[in-house]
Amino acid sequence: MRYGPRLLLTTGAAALVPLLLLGLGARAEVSRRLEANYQRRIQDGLNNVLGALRADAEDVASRLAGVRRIAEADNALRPALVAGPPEPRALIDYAGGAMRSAGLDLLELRDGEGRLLSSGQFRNQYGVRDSMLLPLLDSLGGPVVLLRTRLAGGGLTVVAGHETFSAAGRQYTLIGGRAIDPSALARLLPGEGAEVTIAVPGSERDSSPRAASITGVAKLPMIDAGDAARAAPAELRLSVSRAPLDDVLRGLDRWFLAALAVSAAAALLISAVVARRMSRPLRVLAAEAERVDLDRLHYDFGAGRRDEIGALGGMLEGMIRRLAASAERLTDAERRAAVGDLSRQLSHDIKNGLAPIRNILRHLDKVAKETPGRLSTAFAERRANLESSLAYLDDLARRYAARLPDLAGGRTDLRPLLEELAREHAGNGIEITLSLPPALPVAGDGVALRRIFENLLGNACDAMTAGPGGRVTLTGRLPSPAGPRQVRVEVMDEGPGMTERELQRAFSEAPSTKVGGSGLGLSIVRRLVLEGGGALRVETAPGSGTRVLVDLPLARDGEDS
Amino acid sequence: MSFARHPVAALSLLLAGCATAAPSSPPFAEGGACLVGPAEPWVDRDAPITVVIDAIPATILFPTSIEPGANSPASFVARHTSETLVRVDCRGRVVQGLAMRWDPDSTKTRWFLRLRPGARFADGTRVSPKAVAELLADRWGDGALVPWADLRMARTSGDTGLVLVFDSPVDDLRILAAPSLALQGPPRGPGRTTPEVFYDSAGATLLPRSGPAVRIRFEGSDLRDAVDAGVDLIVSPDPAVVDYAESTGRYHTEPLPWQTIYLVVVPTGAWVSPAPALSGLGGRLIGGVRMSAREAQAPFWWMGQAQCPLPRPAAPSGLRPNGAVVYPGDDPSAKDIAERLVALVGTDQGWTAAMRARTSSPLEAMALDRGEYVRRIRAGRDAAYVVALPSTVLAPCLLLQSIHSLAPWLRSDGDGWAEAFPVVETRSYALLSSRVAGRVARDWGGALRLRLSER
Repeated sequence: MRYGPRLLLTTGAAALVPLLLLGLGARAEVSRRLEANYQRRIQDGLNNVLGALRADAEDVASRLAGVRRIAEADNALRPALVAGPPEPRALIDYAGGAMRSAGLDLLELRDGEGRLLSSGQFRNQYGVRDSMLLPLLDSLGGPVVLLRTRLAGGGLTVVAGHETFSAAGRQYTLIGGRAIDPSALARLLPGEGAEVTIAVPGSERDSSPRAASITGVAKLPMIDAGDAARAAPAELRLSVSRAPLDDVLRGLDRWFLAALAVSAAAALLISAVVARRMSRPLRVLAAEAERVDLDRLHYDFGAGRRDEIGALGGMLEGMIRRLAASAERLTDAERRAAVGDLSRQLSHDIKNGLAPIRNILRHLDKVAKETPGRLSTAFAERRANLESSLAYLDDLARRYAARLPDLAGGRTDLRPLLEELAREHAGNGIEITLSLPPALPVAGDGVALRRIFENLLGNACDAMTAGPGGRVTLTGRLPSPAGPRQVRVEVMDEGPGMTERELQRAFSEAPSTKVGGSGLGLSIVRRLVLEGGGALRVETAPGSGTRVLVDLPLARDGEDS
Repeated sequence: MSFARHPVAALSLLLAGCATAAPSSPPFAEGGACLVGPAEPWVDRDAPITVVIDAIPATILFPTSIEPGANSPASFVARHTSETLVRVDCRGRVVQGLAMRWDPDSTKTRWFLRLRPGARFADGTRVSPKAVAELLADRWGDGALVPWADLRMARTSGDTGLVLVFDSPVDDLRILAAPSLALQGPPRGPGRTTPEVFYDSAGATLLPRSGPAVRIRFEGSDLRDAVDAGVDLIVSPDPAVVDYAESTGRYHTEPLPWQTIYLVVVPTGAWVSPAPALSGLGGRLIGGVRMSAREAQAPFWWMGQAQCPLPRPAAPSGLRPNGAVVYPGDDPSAKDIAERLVALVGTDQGWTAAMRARTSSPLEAMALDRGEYVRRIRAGRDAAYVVALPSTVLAPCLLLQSIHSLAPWLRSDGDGWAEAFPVVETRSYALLSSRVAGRVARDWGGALRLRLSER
């Protein structure tokens, strides 16, 4: 993974994880405290509601006692009760009027067997018998008893009470009640969004509390007087909407997400900037390292920086210097090895050349001792042989002199030299282009320099004569004021180029197999350049030609031309 | 014109008749009428006669414009200010109206009517056969003259003769007593000789050519107030009012014919298996009805109508009905029946089990306005409907067809409907002060008519 994404991940984790923990923790704490507050509020509300229901129950009991006293004294009701079924109309309609007079919402008159004689809330229910209702009313304790009963259309739930009286030797029961108004009960709880429901758990009419609400529950005894009365413990449920709480949490979430987004953006930005600032010198370092060549001694690895990159650059520059020194020593060793070889060859060749001379001299010495008169004749006879040996030695000397030029010392202007070489090599389909400054003064022997560039130009032309021809470009550049004091000459051809292996062979000391070649090749060229204090680099690849870069020391002012 | 529009047409017709003209033949003078109460000496004959009618709500599933029996303030006014060609008396006999004779040809599709001599419209012009034919033609417009009565054409025959041509044989002309065929004459003119009508916010006032004015109150609250005020003619179905009037000793109470029959109609596939479960239901419901009522008693007018061509019922929907027992909200007797039915369901294990198995919700009574009520009946998706029909009708087949057009799912058999069960009948009482006792005639269906010209 690259340095930038790793830095981003690290920075993001460092910035966001603590923030995430803080946000979630704060949210959970706020939610817990608010819910606890709501629960206290609901409990207070339930107490208020239960208090109101108890007050209703007391009110019902009081009103029902009044109805009972009036019923006992009612001389019109008594004969209707005595008459019994079929139901006199006065009896059927009795409870309706009494219910309205007493301000009740439910009033039933039942006989001792639970038979409904008159109903105020559902007139035509008269005659329906429910033997379980009265025992249930008697058995259920508590200050509040709820009664759910049927109406012609729908149902009615009341806070119920009952009163019993006797007439004509029979017992009758008045059941009264006031309807529970959930909306009025909900108003006992301060604030908006409260809802009171009375439900029988598990019944088909039981509706689940609102999903988005906090609900408190109080148990109440209830009688479900449907088709047959049964005890159905009810739950008084007070629900408060979670909307305000959810609003707070949503607000918290929004702020938290905003902080998270800002932190993430800041982490991204900071990591991007830091990664860029840290990776740029590394990239520069890497690019500079890619250009490392032991022939070059001057590299900028940013060693002047006062940070880790600067330290690394300093280490790299030191390493390069050490490598360059090692390479120089290696070159020197190579040169010495080469001189040794050459000395042995030279010794051998000289011995070969001296052997006939020694033999002639021995012969002449013998003639001079034995037959001095024939000395001139003998010399004449051996003269040709002697001259031949001397010619051999002379030739040998010239040939070794050619192999060991002296590049160092002197001052040479490369421009006329390169122009002359260009004229000599042009032709046979080869075009030579020159791009040279008016003067290219370098420190070095003109003969050695001629041999260097003659060799390079010859190689370039040879590379293209195998094909349809082409162009060879000779470029010379003077050093920049801020750069090293070296002149650079580029010899670039459009030939087939070389593979890595071919390039290594070109630099080897093995004699050239090329027809007409010097037998020394790039190896001697490089040696000559290095001995002259310069550097040589070859850039080549199959199919893309070859470019040879030769850096030579600029001639100092005052050096001989 | 569809039957569904007839009630509106009839009401507008009656109001138009009240506001314009009436035949000039004496409305209060015909013989052989069914009189209500014993006639007593006519005292204080110039004082206005006051009338209050607490009408039983009109039934819904048939066109009331066809049946003359309803007692409502509007029909009472119309009955005194317009006239049909014939009338039907309390015994069901066709008696003279504007026509004094009516004879069919051998096919009974062509009837020859002779108009009553001297009959005149309110402006004094004579009621001629030509005027009658033109009025009938103007009334019903294109096609047949009176489509719902199969009356195709009316033409004159001499000065007093009128020929009516029907599309099919007609046994008698009782259909011509329909309120919607009451004739209205030209606009009121200076030569008016019959009662003139004036309306105000409280009701209408009839000013006859001679005799006392008749004041009809349209809207009353507690009719015991009318008793206390000494109103001369009170019509009410409420036993409490009747009892109170009788307790004063100043009123003669006369029960009118059973006027409305209530049915519990259970759509096919509803909550209860109708025939066995609902038999005898009327006896269990009757106690819950506050108006003057009895258990419905056969024969009913829709029996024996097998020859009446009725449309095939719509296929049962197969959907579970809801638990509503639907009734018209302005009919207190229908409310009592529906609520008593709901109350009794809880006491009958068979009904309760059937209800829970076959309806999608618990049974409950549901009051609806008349438009919604008719729509619900047409859909047939409820557990039951409380339906009111007239106890006596002039044209049973016509009404059966009308009912079927509104409740296409009703299955008819030779004797009635498979899903409809008559349970209760109600009626009104006529409370007459001594001034009008014996001077009120009762027509077909209990329709009341003042006969004050016979002194």
